[in-house]
Amino acid sequence: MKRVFKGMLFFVLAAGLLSACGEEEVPNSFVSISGIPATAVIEAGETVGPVTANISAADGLATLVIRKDGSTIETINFNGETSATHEFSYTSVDEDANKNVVFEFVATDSNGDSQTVTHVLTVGEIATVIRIAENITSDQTWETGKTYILGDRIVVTDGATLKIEPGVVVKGEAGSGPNATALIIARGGKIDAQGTETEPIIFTSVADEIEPGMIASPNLDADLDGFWGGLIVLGRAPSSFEGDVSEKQIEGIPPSDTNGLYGGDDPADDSGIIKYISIRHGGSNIGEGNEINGLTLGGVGSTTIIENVEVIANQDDGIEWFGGTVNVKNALVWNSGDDALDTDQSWAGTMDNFILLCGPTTDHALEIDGPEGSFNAAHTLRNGTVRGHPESELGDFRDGARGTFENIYFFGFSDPADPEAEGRGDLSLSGDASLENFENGILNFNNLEVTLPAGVSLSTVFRNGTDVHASEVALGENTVGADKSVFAGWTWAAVAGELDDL
Amino acid sequence: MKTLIISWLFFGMAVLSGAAVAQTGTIRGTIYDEASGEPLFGVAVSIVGTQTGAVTDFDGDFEIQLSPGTYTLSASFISYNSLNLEGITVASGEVTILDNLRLTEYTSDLETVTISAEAIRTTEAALMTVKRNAAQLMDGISSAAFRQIGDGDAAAAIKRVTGVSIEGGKYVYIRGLGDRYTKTVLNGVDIPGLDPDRNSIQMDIFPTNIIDNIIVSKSFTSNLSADFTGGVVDIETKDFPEEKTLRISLSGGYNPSMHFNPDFLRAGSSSTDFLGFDNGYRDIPTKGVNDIPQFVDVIGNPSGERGQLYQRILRDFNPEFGGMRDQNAMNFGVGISLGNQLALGDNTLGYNFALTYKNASEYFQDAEYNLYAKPRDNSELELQPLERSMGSFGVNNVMLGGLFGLAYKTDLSKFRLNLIRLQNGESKAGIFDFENTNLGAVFEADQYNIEYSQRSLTNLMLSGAHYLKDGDWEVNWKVSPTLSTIDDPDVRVLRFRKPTQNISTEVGLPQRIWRSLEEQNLVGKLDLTNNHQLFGKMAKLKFGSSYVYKERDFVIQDFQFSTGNTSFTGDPNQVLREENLFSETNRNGVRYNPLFIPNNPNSFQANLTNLGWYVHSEFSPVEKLKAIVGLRAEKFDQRYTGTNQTQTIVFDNEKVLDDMDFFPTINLINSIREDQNIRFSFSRTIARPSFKEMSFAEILDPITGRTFVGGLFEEVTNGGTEVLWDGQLEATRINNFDLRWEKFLPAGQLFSVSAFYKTFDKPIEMVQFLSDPGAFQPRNVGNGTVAGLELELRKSLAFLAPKLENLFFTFNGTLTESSIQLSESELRSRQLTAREGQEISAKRDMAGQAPYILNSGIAYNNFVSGLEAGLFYNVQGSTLNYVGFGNRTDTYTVPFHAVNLSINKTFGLEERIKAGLNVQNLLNQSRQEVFRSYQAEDQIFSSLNPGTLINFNFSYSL
Repeated sequence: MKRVFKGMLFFVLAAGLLSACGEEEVPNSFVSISGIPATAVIEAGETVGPVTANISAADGLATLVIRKDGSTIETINFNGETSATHEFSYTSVDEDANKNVVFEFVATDSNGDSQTVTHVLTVGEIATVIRIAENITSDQTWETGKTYILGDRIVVTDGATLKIEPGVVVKGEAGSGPNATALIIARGGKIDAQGTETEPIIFTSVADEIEPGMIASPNLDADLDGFWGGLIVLGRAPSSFEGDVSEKQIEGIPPSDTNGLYGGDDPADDSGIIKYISIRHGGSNIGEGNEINGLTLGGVGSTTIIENVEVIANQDDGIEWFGGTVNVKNALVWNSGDDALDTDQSWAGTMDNFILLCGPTTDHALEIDGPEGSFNAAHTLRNGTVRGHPESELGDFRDGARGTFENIYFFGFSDPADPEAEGRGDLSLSGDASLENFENGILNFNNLEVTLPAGVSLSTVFRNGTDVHASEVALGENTVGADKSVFAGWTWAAVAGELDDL
Repeated sequence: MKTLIISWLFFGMAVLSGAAVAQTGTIRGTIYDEASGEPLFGVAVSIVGTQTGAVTDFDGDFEIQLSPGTYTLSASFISYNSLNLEGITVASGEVTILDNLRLTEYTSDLETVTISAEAIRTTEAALMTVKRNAAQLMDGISSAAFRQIGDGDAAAAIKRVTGVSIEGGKYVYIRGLGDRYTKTVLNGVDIPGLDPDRNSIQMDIFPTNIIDNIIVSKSFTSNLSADFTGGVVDIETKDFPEEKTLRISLSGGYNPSMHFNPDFLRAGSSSTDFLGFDNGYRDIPTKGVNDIPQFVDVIGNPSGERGQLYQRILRDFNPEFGGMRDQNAMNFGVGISLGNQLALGDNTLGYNFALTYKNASEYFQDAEYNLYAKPRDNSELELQPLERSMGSFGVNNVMLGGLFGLAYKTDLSKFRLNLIRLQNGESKAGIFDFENTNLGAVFEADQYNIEYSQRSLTNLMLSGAHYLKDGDWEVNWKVSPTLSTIDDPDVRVLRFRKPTQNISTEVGLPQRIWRSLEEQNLVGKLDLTNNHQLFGKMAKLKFGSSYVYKERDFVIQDFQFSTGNTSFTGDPNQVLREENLFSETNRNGVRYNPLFIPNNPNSFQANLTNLGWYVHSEFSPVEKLKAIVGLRAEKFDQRYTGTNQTQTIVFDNEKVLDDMDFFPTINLINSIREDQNIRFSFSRTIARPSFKEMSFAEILDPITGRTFVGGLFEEVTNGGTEVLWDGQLEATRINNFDLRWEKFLPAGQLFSVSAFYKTFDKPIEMVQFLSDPGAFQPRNVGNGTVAGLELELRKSLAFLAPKLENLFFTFNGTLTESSIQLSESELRSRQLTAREGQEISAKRDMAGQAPYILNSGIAYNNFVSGLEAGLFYNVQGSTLNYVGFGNRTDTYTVPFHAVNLSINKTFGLEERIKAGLNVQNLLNQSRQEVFRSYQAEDQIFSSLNPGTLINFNFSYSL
């Protein structure tokens, strides 16, 4: 109640003051600046601020000049305001390392009075851990040997390119729901993340004590998930949306954040290059049906290059495509919390060479959906090896699924007829539209191979007539499947020996 | 509580001392002007054949002490016909009440009106007088009527008023216009609602025994706040009880489909739940922790200081996720009220005290909550399911209400002090079968919900009325602070996927939510009235000012539980078992993730000030024509403190609304005959966005999966080139036109016909996001209009046969036609998802506007035997509720045909005992909302069956 009465009191006082106030003659007044601390200490590469300078000049403000070590770096002109604020921040560069940098803030009023405030910034060693807290709106490079912390949902906005050098480790801070940290490449923004076979780029959580140069986490198991969001790439390529709207908000980003929009009419859209990256322990959940995948590709265009991607322990799907035309080569998903690969909204690209290692919470290895609007397109998945789990299913093709699925080898799933398995362990076509597409050659399966649990028939696992495209092989005797050699050395799965038996 | 006890003792003693001095009897009465309906000041009242008499005060009240006997009373006043009242019995120590005496203006042919005391029993007729003569359009219901129809709370009672309906048993709809356009005030001052999503307050919290009357004004006069359109409901509490009363009442309610049910669902409760509040049992486990550790902070070091704190918090979550089946009892309630007036020298002191307690339970079986959508192929007409949940839930609702009122009257002044405290606690537990067939996720799950909501309202009102000696001037003032709180501590949701009994992101992770809202409110009002002569008739000039300050603090704190590699049996209460929880040895165990740190978009503070001035004049320009012409000005400011999710937009007490508006009003009443009036009114009013609407809040409802997005966000499309919504939410300006013809008949009979027309400039509606159909945002949509016709009839059936004179037929019906111009984005969305052959109109119904409302009934009143009975019917036409967008279709309410029966009887010589029976929903209808689409079968959005409830009550007056 106190506040209400305070409010009342204030109201009465304000009324009194209003009538009491009068004009006063003031001779020449001086300028003052406040809010700038005298000193600060950071490491090279880190940012100081933003701090807000509050400037007042009764005679009217003319300019604010900011000098760094004597040379002007910023001049702000005013139009006689008697007070103003200016937000200042500075990101130190390597040359500043182990130096004191002197900033001078000079405010001048209309009759030439001025006030200077000095800020001495002590810059230490070149920082190897750099926290990113703001969107990337102009070109930026993350350097080899350093670790970058995502302090928020960081967006590379339209027109900006984020270059990530080989060996960089990116760690998302803690946060769930609306606070999930993530790296989003918005439409028009680009990522240039080219790791190498010896120096992959690793996306993980701050809980991970991994340092540049390592492949396996020194302290986290490969089944711990949900620590941060994920990597989201959004583009302007066509996608099939409900109601044929031209664009949509990506899952996991609230509709109020327009950086989450994807879709458009440019099939050849370019979101940049992703090579040799490993994404781990992510998949923070916002709400039901509103999760962040390890790698989310929304409306990504065909000029974008995505090769050699590993996703480990993501609380939701490993890789999910929402429309778009991008092709992906060499992907490995291990311990996904929901589906390993998930496709929606008529993605029109090819996934070539993939290994899916299902974990105890993996739902489907392949979850393939059809178009959501009238725009139809299809994708191809070829050359894959899928290691099952008793809790998982091979695949679900539903909602008018279309495309071609060939040269894929499955093993390690349950017997769907076993009451213990409760129906897990099959590959099924759901809904009339999917069945119709299968019948009409819009949904195709070629050269599927499987190692079945003892005594299980092909048609029990490959349902709805898909068994005619599948053949049974003994464990390890497969003639189709992934080329695992491309994953050697740089993936945690390979380093952990998970690929040895494939 | 202490204060209540002290006041209780004080008044207990006052009652005793009052009883000790009683030797003579008392007559108390009130005299009104028949023409204006206003109390008459200075009427000489005498007892024929004695020297005793009195003069009425400014309230028209008089009091005479007499020895026991039977008397004739005479009231006379200059230029009025005298009134003789015969057969008034005065008994020792008793008060005889004559609270409804009316004097008519002098006519030559009739000098003295003589009536018998028997004829003035009902005060419903008094209200009718007010209505007949008030210059603005009003309807109402009085405490006499509450007794007659046995309604226990204001929500049940107000349904009897023309054009009023009640939504969800709580909220008023006037003329079918939704909550946004209706306002509820208490004793003439604004009090905040108990529900943050509502503009009006829930009516079921006011027990009828503290209410003197409820008046519904359907036309605006400039002394009222301008922010209503459909109507304003004023709940007036009692001030001077006419006689000493001490009434104890007991009530019960039995619903065969709900009570004594072994399957009733409840959750663990605190020891004070039965009083309507939680004693800390549901406190947030992070209470007092400033820096809440996150899982990521402690996974590396579970036994460190932070790790231990994390584990302590994790273990402090109540492990109960699913309710238990446990037999419930039936509803019961007790109430006690006492009041009296005491003479203190020449002055009068009145007091009132009421305490009400109600404890009710409901059990809904086969409750359904579904989502349906249009199939993507536009040649398919039938809707397809996205989500379906069917199940049962139990509700236990406790209501504790206390009212204390003091009134003090001197010769020329009256002071009132009122304190109201309401405490309400509602506990829910539910189990649902959930089935998801939405794109990208097909599964079945068992869903468990537990909720608790506690609300409190404390209102203090101090008011005064002062009269100048000659009666020319009247000054009224009011100051009223209110504090209201709502807490939803520990809302719990959990789903197990079937048949594997696992928990994953696909089915949604378990959640725990703490919501809290606190609102403070201060209203001050000053009204001055000058009575004078204009055009040779009595006229009034009223002017004054009002000040409203409101402040709201709102915060949601929610947690999600990741389950790691834990496997479950399907028992919801085992999820948080010790062996499943994260620990040094179980690092991939069940853990919590707070969703509200570091940034909490669901936390905001907002405040508003509204300074109003008005002037209006009530006069008669020509014979038989009365007019009120007025103008109101309001300076309204609303401020907001909060941020968006990524804190890129930060508002710190920033002005989000800054309006200065003028609201002209004209009300004309023409008495075309003694018993017939024609009324016309025009007014301009306003509907402003609420605190929550004018915010950056993004509130996810874990049960429906819908997200509320504050109106301050914008939505763009086509790569940001096209703005669908600019984030500039504004108030809606409304023009109202009303025309009514009414005819009053003897014995409270009435017939009236009204027509109304309203135009809405940029009405606010909930609109779905184009890019995310699960998100809703309040936006200004295209302009709208509402036209309506209203009919009211109250007729004795004596015209059929004289024997039926005590049988009344009542009917009131409202028929409306509403239309809204579709916004560009809505039109496009509708065109994109149109079915083959469907024409998309650029107009549609206004959301929340019922096409018709019908109330009808047959009532039997016999005052001699004390028997009252009635059969009542109420229905509201199918109303557009949520506006569809994209592949989601519009939702409509399904008409609920409510047939209720009530019987009341008084017993005993002094009618000290009253008993009543009331049966609700005789037809056993279900409350449903449906998805409706072009040529498709309606599909259920929500369905609840309230069953048939039999209420009985018994009261005894001492």
